[in-house]
Amino acid sequence: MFNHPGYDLKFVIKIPCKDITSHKFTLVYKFYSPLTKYIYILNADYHAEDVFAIKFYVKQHSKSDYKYSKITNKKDLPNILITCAKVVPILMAEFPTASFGFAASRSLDDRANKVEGLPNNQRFQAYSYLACKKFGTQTFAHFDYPAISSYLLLNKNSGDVEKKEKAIVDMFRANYHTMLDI
Amino acid sequence: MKPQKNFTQKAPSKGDRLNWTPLRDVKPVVLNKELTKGRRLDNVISNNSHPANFLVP
Repeated sequence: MFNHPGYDLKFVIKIPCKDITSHKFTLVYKFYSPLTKYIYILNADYHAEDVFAIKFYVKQHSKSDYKYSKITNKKDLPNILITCAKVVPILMAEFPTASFGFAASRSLDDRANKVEGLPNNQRFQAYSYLACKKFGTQTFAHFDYPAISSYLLLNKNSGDVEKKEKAIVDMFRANYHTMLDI
Repeated sequence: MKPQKNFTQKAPSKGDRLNWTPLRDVKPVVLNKELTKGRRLDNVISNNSHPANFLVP
């Protein structure tokens, strides 16, 4: 699994963030899967501590409050995840000391109107498997947070790894007091 | 007389099968120190991954 080629990412726009949080700007990319016939939007949110939070969703769900949680059941997961992972080397060309984090949303079953639990959820299992297979330990220190289904690729060129990890986690906690309820 | 249609029962959805939480009962999770305690995985990765497949070494 995950030896798929993925698709081409196209840069769309840079959106500055003018609020008082540590979120500085968002780089928006898009890609198309000919198998699912969906366009996907990928957001890379750049924060203080030189860290990007990577998120993606199906474009046609963009107006939904649950866009990160919806299940499409159209398959093609390996190509979609590889395409999202491809943004890391693209961003590193411009931000060589950046780290990358992601939080796996819990899945929403529209039919039953039920939501998966947060710890170690199914998206987290797929994302962390991909992170282990596609990113080595020469550039990144890998941290996982199964209780909140999150993962951090910490750039080893950003200084003391343990201190930097603490600074990033503290920054996220100070800015996002809660995980989204969904 | 026409033969009656055989109605099969729809399989329960994933949320029902896996006993997920009803959407209305889902609460935000406060990010406390306990929940944000990370595990470093570098050793697991070096042993289980093939460098040729890396996007970033």
